[in-house]
Amino acid sequence: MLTKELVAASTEPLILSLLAEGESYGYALIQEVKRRSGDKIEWTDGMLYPVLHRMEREGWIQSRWGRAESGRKRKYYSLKSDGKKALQKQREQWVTVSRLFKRLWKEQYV
Amino acid sequence: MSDFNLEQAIARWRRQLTDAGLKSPEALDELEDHLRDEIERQLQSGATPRTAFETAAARMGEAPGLKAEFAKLNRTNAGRQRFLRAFYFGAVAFIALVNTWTLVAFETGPMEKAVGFPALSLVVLHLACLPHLLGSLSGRPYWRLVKAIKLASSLLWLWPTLALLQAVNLVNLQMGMIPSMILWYLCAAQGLSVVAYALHDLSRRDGGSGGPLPPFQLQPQPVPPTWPTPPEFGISIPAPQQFAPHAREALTAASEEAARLGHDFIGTEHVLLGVLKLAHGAFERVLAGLHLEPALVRVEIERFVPAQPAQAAAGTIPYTPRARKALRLAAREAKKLKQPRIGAEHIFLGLLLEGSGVAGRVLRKLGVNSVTLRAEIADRLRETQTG
Repeated sequence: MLTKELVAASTEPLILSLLAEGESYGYALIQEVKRRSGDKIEWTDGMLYPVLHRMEREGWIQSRWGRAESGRKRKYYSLKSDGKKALQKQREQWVTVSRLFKRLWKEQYV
Repeated sequence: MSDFNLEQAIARWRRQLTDAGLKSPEALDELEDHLRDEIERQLQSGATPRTAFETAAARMGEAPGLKAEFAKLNRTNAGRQRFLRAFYFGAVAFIALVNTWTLVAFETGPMEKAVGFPALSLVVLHLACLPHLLGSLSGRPYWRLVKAIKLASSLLWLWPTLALLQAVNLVNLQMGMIPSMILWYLCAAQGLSVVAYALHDLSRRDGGSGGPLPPFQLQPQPVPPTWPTPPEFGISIPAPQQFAPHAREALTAASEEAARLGHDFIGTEHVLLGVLKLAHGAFERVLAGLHLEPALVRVEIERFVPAQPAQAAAGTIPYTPRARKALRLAAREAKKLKQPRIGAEHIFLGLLLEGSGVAGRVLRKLGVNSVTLRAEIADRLRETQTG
């Protein structure tokens, strides 16, 4: 539904924003994005995990192995301070674009 | 009918990923956890263990960790590529030099020179262009040609064997210098062709499309919705059994309307359309009492909401928050009127009371107000009750 480029561009800020709300793990992130976008954005695991691992390498997020309710081992990710800064920067960029659209499209609902 | 063992299937799946190149146990654990979460989800919606596993595995598609692993591999590939490329062109230059020197320095007749130089130039040119040629020859029609070249060139290895045998005096071949030189060129060309193919393979894998693919490549299967049960945004809608059968059908019709209009949400307007479509019985009389023509209402709605090209609904379509609110209001109204179940007329009232959605605005524009509507519903109710 969304173009590949849009999905790719929005993945990092979305992950950062979700993790800003609290620790989470891969599967839950995918479900949450799907839910909150009204099923419009469906991430695949093939897309998500490489991005998560890359963000971890950049030092934006950190991971720990915890236990799920079922008792299984589960990898949880949380936001680091560098990640918070990155989120701020990306937010500013999206707001810039979004404001411009609002001005251009003020005739219709955005 | 064989028994399906879930744990064994998962273990097999994990082994296949390892075989396909994903060796990191951490990455495998993370993916397995994801798979198990998806399997649980499938099991909860009533799938058998076998179906749950197959759907979950198919949903996961191309293993993600593999891409990351190949990304890391490609970094070393680049180094290897550079080395091979340098070696290749260095070798070509070396051959050109040595053979030119041979032709020049040795006592060769003009005839031999005339043959030698062109032959040398041809071979050098061929070798220099080979990597590029391989790129343009990768298409399907050429694979036979490529195979033929490979076969012919492998016969070339006979020559060094013979030369070796000659050197140890087992065989005695009288060959001029030029023919034997040409044969040596061809052997070197064969050897370098192999290097060129290796280079080509490496650069193809870098592009990403040529790497070995993991086993599960099926299309993800959409879960067919029965009752449109969308994800919970915050406020929940009443459960299916709280609605009267015709109201339930109206809501299913609403999701169909949404799909038909090419929208991927069920808004108040779709609920209104659904309710109008299946208007019968009490609700029909309410509408008649309000002098509302369903067709007219429909026209008004479509004026507000432009239709887009109809898309097949991928999975469940969610209700908008306003639609949810309208349905909750419908439940409240039904309770107020002491009705055991929510009927289409209550939904209609709920849409009006919600007010700010498209349905609410359309209804108000058409002059419906909640007081008269409530009165109308109550009247019809009394009618049916008194017989």
